[in-house]
Amino acid sequence: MIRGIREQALSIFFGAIFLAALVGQSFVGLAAYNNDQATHGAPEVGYGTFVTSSAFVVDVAENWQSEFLQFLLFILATVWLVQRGSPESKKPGDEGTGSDKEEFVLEFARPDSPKWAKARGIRLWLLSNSLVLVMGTIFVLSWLAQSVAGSVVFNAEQVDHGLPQQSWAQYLVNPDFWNRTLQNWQSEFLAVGCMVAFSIFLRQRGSSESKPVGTPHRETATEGE
Amino acid sequence: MREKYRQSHIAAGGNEATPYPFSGRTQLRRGGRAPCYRSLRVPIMKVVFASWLALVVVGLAYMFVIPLIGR
Repeated sequence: MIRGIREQALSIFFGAIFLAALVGQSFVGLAAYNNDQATHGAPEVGYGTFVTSSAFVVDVAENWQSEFLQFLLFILATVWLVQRGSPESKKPGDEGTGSDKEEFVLEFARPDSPKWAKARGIRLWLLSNSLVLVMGTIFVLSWLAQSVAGSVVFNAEQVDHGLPQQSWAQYLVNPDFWNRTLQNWQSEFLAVGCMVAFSIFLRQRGSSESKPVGTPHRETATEGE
Repeated sequence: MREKYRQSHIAAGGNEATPYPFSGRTQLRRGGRAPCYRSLRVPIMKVVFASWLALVVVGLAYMFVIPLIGR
């Protein structure tokens, strides 16, 4: 049983720190929200009211969408683009979706390959692109949720200031929506770019995200295999 | 190679009917069959996968419901 848990430690660890961070965000978000309420002479709200408000939702959603976009682009970009020396990249010359032999599909499927790796047509296509399909769907839905919740928050502020409300479609071209969006995107793209570039020359012994310490800088992780 | 593992397993007091004391990954990499506890490991991975998917689905549903009910 302990062995079974240990083998899932990575996902359990990230699940635990995700929940801890989300709970932490809800408490400090409430404090910040009530500070803002006080400066506007408005009454404070309780924890339950805050975590079921669009103000909380929009802050969560704008970060979700950017994280899923980050991984979506990283997964897609690494199909066709390479970076010599980075363990996040295929070796130069291997750009593209790979042959059936390289991908262990159809007649090259192994006995323990997923069942759909041996199937033709839509099932093989779905399995072949399932990661991007799911990450992309989550990105689109969380970005949509951000726009809906952001629109509610924006209009509440408009009412507070005696200004006209905007429709959801109008909010989609509002600077508030794009400010929330792009401030998250730029940080994600920076982090991915740094990861790709730094991992050419820097190492973390024991990490699957790093080349082995003694691997030449010029070599990508897969070249030596 | 598998025979060598089998013999060392028996020499260590193991029963021939039980899986050899090597991880499934090691055995697969060395051309052997997956040990019998592989059937136990797959459901745990499915639970992990389903839990994360459920977490995201519930989170997304929450993020849509709250603004749509005008909170």
